[in-house]
Formats: sequence, C-alpha cells, structure tokens
Amino acid sequence: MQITIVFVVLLIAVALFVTEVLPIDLVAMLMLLGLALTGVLTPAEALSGFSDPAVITIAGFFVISAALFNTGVVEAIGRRLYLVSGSSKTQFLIVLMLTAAAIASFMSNVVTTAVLMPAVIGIARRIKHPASQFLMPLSFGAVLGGKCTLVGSATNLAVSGLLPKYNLPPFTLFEFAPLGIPLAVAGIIYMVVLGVRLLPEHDVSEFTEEYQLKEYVTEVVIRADSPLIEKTLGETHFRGVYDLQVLGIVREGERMLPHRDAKLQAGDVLLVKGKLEQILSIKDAQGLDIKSDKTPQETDVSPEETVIVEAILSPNSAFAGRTLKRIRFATRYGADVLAIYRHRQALHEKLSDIRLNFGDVLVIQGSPRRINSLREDPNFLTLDDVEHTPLRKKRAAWAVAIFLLAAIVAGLNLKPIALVALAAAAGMILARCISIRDAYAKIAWSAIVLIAASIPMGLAMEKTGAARILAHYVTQFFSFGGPMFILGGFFVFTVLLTQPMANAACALLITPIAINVANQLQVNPRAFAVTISIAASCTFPTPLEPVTAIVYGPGKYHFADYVRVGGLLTLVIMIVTLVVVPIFWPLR
Amino acid sequence: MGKQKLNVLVIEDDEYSRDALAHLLAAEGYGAESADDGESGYARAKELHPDIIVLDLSLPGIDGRRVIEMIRRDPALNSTPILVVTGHSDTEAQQAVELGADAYLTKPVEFDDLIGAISDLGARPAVSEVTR
Repeated sequence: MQITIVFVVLLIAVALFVTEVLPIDLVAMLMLLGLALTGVLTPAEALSGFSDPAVITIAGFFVISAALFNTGVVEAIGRRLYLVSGSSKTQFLIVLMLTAAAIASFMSNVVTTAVLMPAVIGIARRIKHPASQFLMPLSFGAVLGGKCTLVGSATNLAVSGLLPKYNLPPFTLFEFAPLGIPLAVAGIIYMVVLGVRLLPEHDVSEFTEEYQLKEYVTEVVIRADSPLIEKTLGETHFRGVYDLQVLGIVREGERMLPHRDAKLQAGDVLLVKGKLEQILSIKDAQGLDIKSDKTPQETDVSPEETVIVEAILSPNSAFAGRTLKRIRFATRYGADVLAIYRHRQALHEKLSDIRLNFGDVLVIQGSPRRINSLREDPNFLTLDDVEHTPLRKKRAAWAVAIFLLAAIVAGLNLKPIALVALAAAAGMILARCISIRDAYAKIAWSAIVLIAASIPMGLAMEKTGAARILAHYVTQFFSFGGPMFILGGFFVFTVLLTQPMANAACALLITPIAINVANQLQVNPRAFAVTISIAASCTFPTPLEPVTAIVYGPGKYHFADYVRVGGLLTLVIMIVTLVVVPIFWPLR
Repeated sequence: MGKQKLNVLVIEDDEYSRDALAHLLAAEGYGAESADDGESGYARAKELHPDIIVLDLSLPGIDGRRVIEMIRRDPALNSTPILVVTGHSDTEAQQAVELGADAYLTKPVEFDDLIGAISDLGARPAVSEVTR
C-alpha cells in the first residue's frame, strides 16, 4: 500500500515539476506533505531535509557569495576581465569562459552570469563582435565551472546529501574536480572550435533601446587620492573599465574635448554618459566621485541611509527653462542631482548649467525624509526608487580571507563542509562584509525549500522499496548492455528529465534509483551518483534554467540555438563523463 | 539660428575624441557621422558629401595630410571646408592649412572654440570651384 502511495505521489510530482503549473518549491512541499500525512514518512523523517548538511551548505554559500559580491570582489574581477580580454575573439572567449567557470565554481551560476554580462556586452562592442557570440558561452562557462566543486552547483550538494542514507560518505569539496576540470576544458575547447561557429551573429547594439536603458549624463570628479591621476584616459582604459563615455573634461572652468592622451589631474571633472547602474558604480570606485553640490546639513547622513530616486520634471513645473544652479536645487531640496537624462537629445553642459526641460529625468539622492518631501512636490513626478546598495569595498580583504580560509578548511576535510559554510557566513557578517538583514535577503529560500523538501522523497523510495523495484526493472531490461551502458542510459534519461525540471529536484529523484541499480549490479554506486549529478546540471540544451535563461533575451537567441549549440555540448560532456568517471570512481 | 541642419564628418582614430566630438556636434544640432581612419574617412566623405569635415592629422594608414590632398583633388569634395585637429605643433597645423585645410585647432580642444570654428565654417558662403 505504502509503495503505491510513493509511486502516485512521485508521478504527480514529476508531472507538476515538468509542467510548472505550480511553483516548484510548492510542489516539493506538497510532495513532502503527501508522504508525511499518509504515514509513509514519520514527521521526523519528513522534516529531516531541513537540517540536512547539504541544505545548510547551500544557505551558507548564498551568504558567502553575497558577501563577496557586496564587497566588490566579483565586480573587481569583472573589471579585470576588460584588461585581459585582448582584442581577438578567441582569446576573449577563452578568458571569458575560464573567468566565469572560476567564479561559478564557488558562487551561484546565475549570479556569476548576471554580474559578468554587462562587462561582456561592453567588451564585445569594443572588439567589434556581436555580443551574441559571447553571452551563451558566458552562461555555459558558469555552468561548467559549477561542476568543478561540491558547492559549485546545487545538484552536487543535493546528491551529496543523499549519500549518507546509503552508508556512503558525502562528497568532499574537491571530489568533483578530477571530472569537473576536464569537463570545463573540453567544454571550452568545444565552444571555441565549433560552438561559437554555430551561434547566431546578432548585433545586440539595439539592446539598450529595446530594454529602455536610458543613458544619463553626469560629472565625475577625480579626487586627490585617485589612482588615475597622472595617467591618460587611454592608459586607464577609462571607457572600457567603467563602461562610461567621456564627453568632456572640465578643467579650470573650461570644457575640453577628451582624447586618449589627456592626462588626468586631481580636481578634473569628467562629463560622462552611461547607464545609471554604471554611473552609480562610480560611487564605489576608488578616488572618483559623482560631483554634486553637497548640502552641509545633510552630510552626516551615511551613504547607507540615503535614498536614490528618479524624478521627471512635470509638465507644469516652475523649473522648466531654468538651470539647477538658478533654482538652487541643493539648498532648496537638501538633495543632490546625480545625473540627468533627456530623451533623444545629447547634453554636454555641466549638470548645474543644463536648462531643464519638461520630461527630463533627474536622478536624485538624499535622506529618506528629504526624498519623501520631494515626492509631494508638484514640480516633479517621482518614479521608482533606484536600488543601489553601496559596495563595502573596505571589507573586501576580509571577505577574500574568510572565503579562502573556508575553502582551505573544507578542501582539506578538516571540518564538515556544512559547518564550514555556516561559520564562513557568520564570519562574513561579523566582519561586516554583509549586513545580517542583507544576508537573510540574499538566501534564495525557494531553492532551500525545494531541496529540503525533495530529499525525503529519496528516503520514502528507499523505505518502501520503491527505489529497489524501479532499479530492478532498469537492471532487467538493460542487462544486455553491461554497467557502462546503463550508466550512459542514466545520463541521457537525467539530461532529458532535467530540462523541464529543476536540476536539484531531478537529481534527487533519480539518484536513489541509480544507487539501487549500482548495488544490484554490484558496481560502485558513487560512480552513478557522480554521473547523475553532472547530468542533472546539464542545462545547456534549453533556456529553461535561470542560468541559461538570463542571456536568452539580451543575446536575442532562439530556442533552437540552445538545442543546437547546447545539445552538442551536452554530447561532449556525456562522452568525457563516461570516459573519466570509471578512472576516478572505478566501477568495481 | 538657421534651422538648416549641417552634416559634419569626423575623421579621428582616437575613440575618446571621436565619440565626444560626435556627441558634442549632435548636441549642438549638427548631423554627425564618423570614421576611424584615413581610408574609410575619405570613402565616407565621397559617400556622404558632408558640409564640413573635422580631421585629425595623425591617423593610422593614410595620414591626415594625405587625406587633405585626396579631398582637395576630388572635384566633388574640393570645396568642402576642413577643420584640422592636431595634438602636435602649430607648424604641423600650418602645413595642413597650406595643403588646403581651412582652419585648425590644437589639442586639447575647448568646446567653445570647436563650436565657434564649426559655425564659422558652416556660415561661410559655399565657394564653388576653388581654383588652386
């Protein structure tokens, strides 16, 4: 009877996971409730997933990643990418994929892709190749990197969480490396030699218009402590590194045209144009500032407490035709105008000298109180607040130190990885690399719930003998092929099932069957667990997982592009996996 | 302000200068096109027949002086005003004027000087068939 319940719950769950009529974390929770309320699992068993070391590790690493991001470490790597990208397409492709893989081996694949994407689009523009040639490789590089360590992808951790239930030791931090590194290398070689030729050449320059990314103008001051002083614009790669176009240099009140040999001096003001995100990132750059008329009484407000809003000059605004200087904006509102945007029109004056027009968009920063009073002001229509958490650059060294220490302790197996992850997360908060509020906010709870609620399904399949029966059928029907054939079969089946399903959930459902098959064939179950883990994170052939979906729009890809380029890559991954797995995890 | 929009071609290899020039000209109401070396610059000039050409003297490949000669020898372009921008000495700029450039500015170029020079060149009565 109980086994029937398991099969029914499993079938319904898979159907719901695949069709996604309900959120996947909710499906996992319903699956769990189905097993617990029918008495298949005891309450303690049903809830055991929530204290599973794999789940704690995932939560810990969300905080660790967020701290590395918050302190500007990841962004700094992104900026370096510009300096080492070279000018050849192949060189950039290799550097790009290696960088993405290296970051993603310890951070979320999605975050890695998202962080590097703007830099990649900028560099592609500079080396005059369509960005569509690099964006999919970027996301694929991140996925490949995720396969290199235990914490690189949720599927590795999820499968690791199942192992102790079969009296197998969980995976160690670098256990995947002997397979993951050859996979990453093979994947990169494939993308460079063949994959990139199969990618469309879409010019994504209209990307900015399509996504309504407004280009603002602002003024950037070179402070006395700036490392850019006495260097030329060309030497500093100002344009590439900050992704801002320099419109002019203001020195001693005169506006001059920039040129690559122009040496920067302390106190110089650069008139620049760029996306808001890029402009605001200047606030975090060393020795640079957005010029604004700071009002004395508000300087004691710490940057963390200020609010940034976009506001449009309303049609009946009294300020139309007047300049910010004339209306004494800073004293009047106790807030600073950071940047101005005017639709379809180039601006080249200093901000304070621009004659405001109806429809101009102003980016305004001030204390919450001042900004709230601005919202009531009939001269402006305030739009949404701009999310900008200032980077905690001063804590970057701490973040890197904590991260490295954690990697070493976990890498040498000195302490269980779940405890290391938790300790590192706590360390990041103690060292003020991330606020505790932010730490909670950065944990993707849906991923935690999905995995925590799916783990007990394996237990139920085991307890009732469901996994054994399914495994029995597999071994009987495919006995003619031998263990390697069956291993390959599992790879294909897992890849197919993981496309519509969340990777970790798919791995968690298939691994119990695979381990039972291995036991019945009297071969090494670990080899099967590793293979399922790798196969379940093969998200290449479809844009259905966040990490591949995120480049779908910006790269203007079609579904078929993923099937073609990602499908072949999956084939490469499968071949390498089936060759390498028996070497490091011998079947007998 | 005569609302007849003049088109300016910027031939400049330095992307900082080129894009800032294009931006500034657009902001001042000119139509701005650009090219990043002498060869493509000359080709663009033949294709677009700009009202004014802004030319950097030091260009990769065919350099600015040669571009002036080519433009002046071309019957379709020989009356197009050329404003030379140079990072080098005044003597070099003088040379350029002897070759047929109409005016010059030395780097760093101030916005106001540039706008002034462009509007002067734009306001000049079109000279038909300059004899040289």
